[in-house]
Amino acid sequence: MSSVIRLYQDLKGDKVIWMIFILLGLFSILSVYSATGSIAYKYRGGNTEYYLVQQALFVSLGALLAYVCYKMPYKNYSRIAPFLLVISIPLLIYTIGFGTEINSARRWITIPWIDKTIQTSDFAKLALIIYVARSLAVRQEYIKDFQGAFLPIILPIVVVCGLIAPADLSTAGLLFLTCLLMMFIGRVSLKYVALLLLMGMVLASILILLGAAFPEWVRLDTWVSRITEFTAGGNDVFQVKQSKIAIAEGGWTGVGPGNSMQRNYLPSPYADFIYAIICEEYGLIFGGIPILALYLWLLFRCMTIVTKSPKAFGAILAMGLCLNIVIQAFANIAVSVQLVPVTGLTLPLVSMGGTSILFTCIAFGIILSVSKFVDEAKAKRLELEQIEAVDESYN
Amino acid sequence: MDRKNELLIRAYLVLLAFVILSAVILVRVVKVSVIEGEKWRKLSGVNVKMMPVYADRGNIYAEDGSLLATSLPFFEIRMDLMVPSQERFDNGIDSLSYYLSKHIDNSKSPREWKSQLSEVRKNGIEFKKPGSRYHLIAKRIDFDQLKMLKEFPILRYGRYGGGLIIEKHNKRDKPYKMLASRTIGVDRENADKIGLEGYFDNFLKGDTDEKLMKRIPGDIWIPVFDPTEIEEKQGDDVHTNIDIHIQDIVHEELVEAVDSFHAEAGTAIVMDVKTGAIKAISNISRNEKGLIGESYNYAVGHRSEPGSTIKLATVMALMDDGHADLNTKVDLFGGRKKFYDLVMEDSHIHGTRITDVQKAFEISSNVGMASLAKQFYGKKEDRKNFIAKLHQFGLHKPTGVEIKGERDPLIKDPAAKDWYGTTIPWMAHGYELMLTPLQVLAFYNAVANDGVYMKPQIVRKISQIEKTKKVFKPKRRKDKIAKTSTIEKAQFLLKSVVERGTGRSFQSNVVPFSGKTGTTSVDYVKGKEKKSYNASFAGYFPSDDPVYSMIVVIYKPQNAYYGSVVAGPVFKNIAEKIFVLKDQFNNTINDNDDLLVNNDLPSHHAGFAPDFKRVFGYVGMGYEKKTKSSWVKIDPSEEEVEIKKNEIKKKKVPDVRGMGLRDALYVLENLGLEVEANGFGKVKKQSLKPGARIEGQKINIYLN
Repeated sequence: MSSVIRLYQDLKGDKVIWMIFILLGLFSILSVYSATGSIAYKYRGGNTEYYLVQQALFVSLGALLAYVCYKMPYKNYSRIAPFLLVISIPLLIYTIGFGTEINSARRWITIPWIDKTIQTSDFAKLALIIYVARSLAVRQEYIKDFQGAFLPIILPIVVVCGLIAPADLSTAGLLFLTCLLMMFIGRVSLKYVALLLLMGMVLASILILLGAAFPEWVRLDTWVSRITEFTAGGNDVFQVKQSKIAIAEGGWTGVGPGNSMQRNYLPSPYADFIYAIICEEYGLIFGGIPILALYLWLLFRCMTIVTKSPKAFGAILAMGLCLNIVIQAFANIAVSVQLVPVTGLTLPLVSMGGTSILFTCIAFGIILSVSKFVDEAKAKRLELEQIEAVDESYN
Repeated sequence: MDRKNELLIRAYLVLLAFVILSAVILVRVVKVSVIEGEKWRKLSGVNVKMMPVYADRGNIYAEDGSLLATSLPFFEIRMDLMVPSQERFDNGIDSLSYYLSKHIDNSKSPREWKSQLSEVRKNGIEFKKPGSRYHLIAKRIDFDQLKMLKEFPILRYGRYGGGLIIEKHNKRDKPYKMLASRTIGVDRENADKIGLEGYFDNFLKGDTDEKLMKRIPGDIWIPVFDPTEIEEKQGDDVHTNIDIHIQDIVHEELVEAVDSFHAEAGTAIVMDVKTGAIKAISNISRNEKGLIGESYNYAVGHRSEPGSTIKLATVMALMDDGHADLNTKVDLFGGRKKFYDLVMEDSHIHGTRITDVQKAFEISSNVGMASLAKQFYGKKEDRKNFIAKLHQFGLHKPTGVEIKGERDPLIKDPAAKDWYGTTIPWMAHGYELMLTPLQVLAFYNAVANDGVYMKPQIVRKISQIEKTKKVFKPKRRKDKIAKTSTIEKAQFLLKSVVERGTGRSFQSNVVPFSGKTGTTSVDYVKGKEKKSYNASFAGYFPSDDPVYSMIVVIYKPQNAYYGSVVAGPVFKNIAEKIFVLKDQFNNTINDNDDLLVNNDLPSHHAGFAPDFKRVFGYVGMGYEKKTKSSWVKIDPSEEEVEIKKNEIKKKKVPDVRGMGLRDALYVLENLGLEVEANGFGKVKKQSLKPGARIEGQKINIYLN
């Protein structure tokens, strides 16, 4: 116990973000345990602890990774960003060509030796966000410039998003939006941001054309059917209907942990629709609203990092990583209540998953690393001011 | 503006946007959960249910691997006509209609197909008619048609692109049709499964999965997700002892007999004496329309008074207890005697008075058997001794054969109320007790097997694809059913029945057999007007070194009724045909020593050691075995064949060259290699070098 207290005292960085991180992790273990009832029954002969243990292991491993990333001075990330980006592009190309197909989408590659699959877009996402933050930061002097700043920044964005899009449009769109917001915050001229938005649309239409030509590479059919189903009133969409029933069943206080009925009817209740299961079991008061609040709170805490950060890189990096998590969370929740078409995006850190949890944890670790630096810098500045004040008093 | 401030202002704007966004989401969540809550809660569990997805039912095999029962998949095809885009529909509809008319259902012309599909789609789009989401294309197509259909225009884009909905069903098929079909059984829904299908249902059906179904208007349940995405599971296969050739012989003879004697039904079972393996089991009966087929398992499920075949048990009891011997004198009263208030008659009035047990048995005298039994077991305190003997012969318990629906034998308890003074005399010649044909046969088999009772076994093993899950070894009862001297005398008696007694008329000069006739009158209580009979014959062949035991029962034959006339000749015909079929009786291969002396010694073969041992032993060929390893290679370079060790090591690619496909697959897959086999015969080439390290690679083997 004393070691835990020691650890807590030694832990620097934003304590609230640490808390949000831990709470989301706990929520994750609890709700995955509930939601996997039906698949545990089917595939593990009723051994429901299997998925509980697996999820707990991944969250613990993720926490460890987060700690390592938090320990690393965040400026190092700026240095390795170009390398990460250079690695991620061939990986993405490889995935499109030879990746492992799961549920008719080719988004994974299998890592030799350990026989685990990894979603390459998770890695590329992280690499791109760090790179864009760096790119924006180093060009702050002439950020309004088109050729000097805008073009070099958007080039990797277009390439990476374009490579992710064929198999996973939602993730690509979300990453694109994240980068767009990062550029907006990073003081890129508004008209260029608008131009980028336009480019995104053009890119999407090119993809649709490509999809018509190469149906086996682009999941056009799935997108079209999902969007038409949504615009056609959407009440026919089976998952969404079941998800709403789950949320309604939960009401204010929920039906209690482990009592979900809808997990039997919802496809992947442990991933895409975990929010509905949380609402059903814990209700709005103990599940639905707290989850939403935790993600929003995370954004507020990152905002304080931005205000306190003396360097543009730290501010934009923390904000970019945070925005990516929050947008994905909001998108996932919005699907559950039929605000947007079905996307297949998971609830970051909460949904069951292997490597995607680890990458979210890494993002948390980097955010915490920035906040640690910001606090230290502030402390140093305070010290300096005090010294100056003392000096002045001598004058 | 200050750079830092500009950045901050923009960040705050983003934050503001997200606060608004979260507010929108929150309102929406509250709306669904609370405001519309009632509406959604009402829908809970309505229109959705989990339905079981059954594994592909396993196969049932005969001893030689012939398929006795298998599942043939067929598919119901529907189409969600709302799914294809307008462009895709317009481009593809003409050719789709053409293909549908040509390959799937030509009762509709391409034009009719087109107008129908277009109409349904239009109704769906314009009037939201739900039927357009689940339009029936074909009720029943086979796998080849499905493969074709999946390539058709529009439909080739699958469930979400083309609206193709596939529902898989299975039809149980018996490739040998009627042959042993009642024993193989029936796998039917909403009713008890019968036969092997019933007995091994838990194995055959495999693991059941679940799939989510939703209800659409019209009270139709359709799968929510593409059923082809669910991994198909496979039930276990059941391997029987049924010899398809023997079964064929038995079936034909029985059909012939039931037909020519206008009998109600007939059954015959052939058992392997040494192991109790059931080699054939046939049940032929007539339905109301007089058609002949397998519809009820008489052999296992029909319990009746066995009649004279049980006299064997009576004599054996008397001899085993020391009350009588072959030459013990007995009075037959000319063939007619009154026991208390009931008159007993032999099959015909023969006039014989004093004779010996052997003669009485040979002519199957009811009076003789009944008198002896009454003399030694008739008294109240002796009754239990007779029943104890029947227990000792294994007649009191079901055989435990692996076929669903075996009836228990009915043997009276001496203390029971319905035990009369006439019970013992009548039991002695096969009445007042009930047995199934199989139970009688098991007893005769024990006599043939020198007193060792073997459990009748129809199943050899259960496997999951290539992997054996359970082996059914022959099961014997620990104690012999009678003293050795009793068994020897019983064997002598059964032989003399055929040589001198009731069986004389159908002796065989092809294969000597032993056995006992039986003629049981049935429905005798009803009155005297018209009696019906069951004719039977139980025995084994060849007499001196029995290989098979057999029982034949013909139920209610019309124009003749004696066991010796009706059932005996059927037994003889079957026995002779089996004898000719199985050259193991003839030993011709061993007689001719020259046969194997040539240059064609088996060369470059590899495989499972016991297999080679059996083959060499069978053909009487000398061999030298230098290893205890179970996987071996044959070295023909010596004068005598030499069996050498074929090293199989974990993580090392083995040398499978020379092996048959089954052995090669077994060895390679057990070592964790993925195998692709090409060709037939023996392995000629293998793509990985023997001794190489196994790291989950794929190996190609070429056979010829």
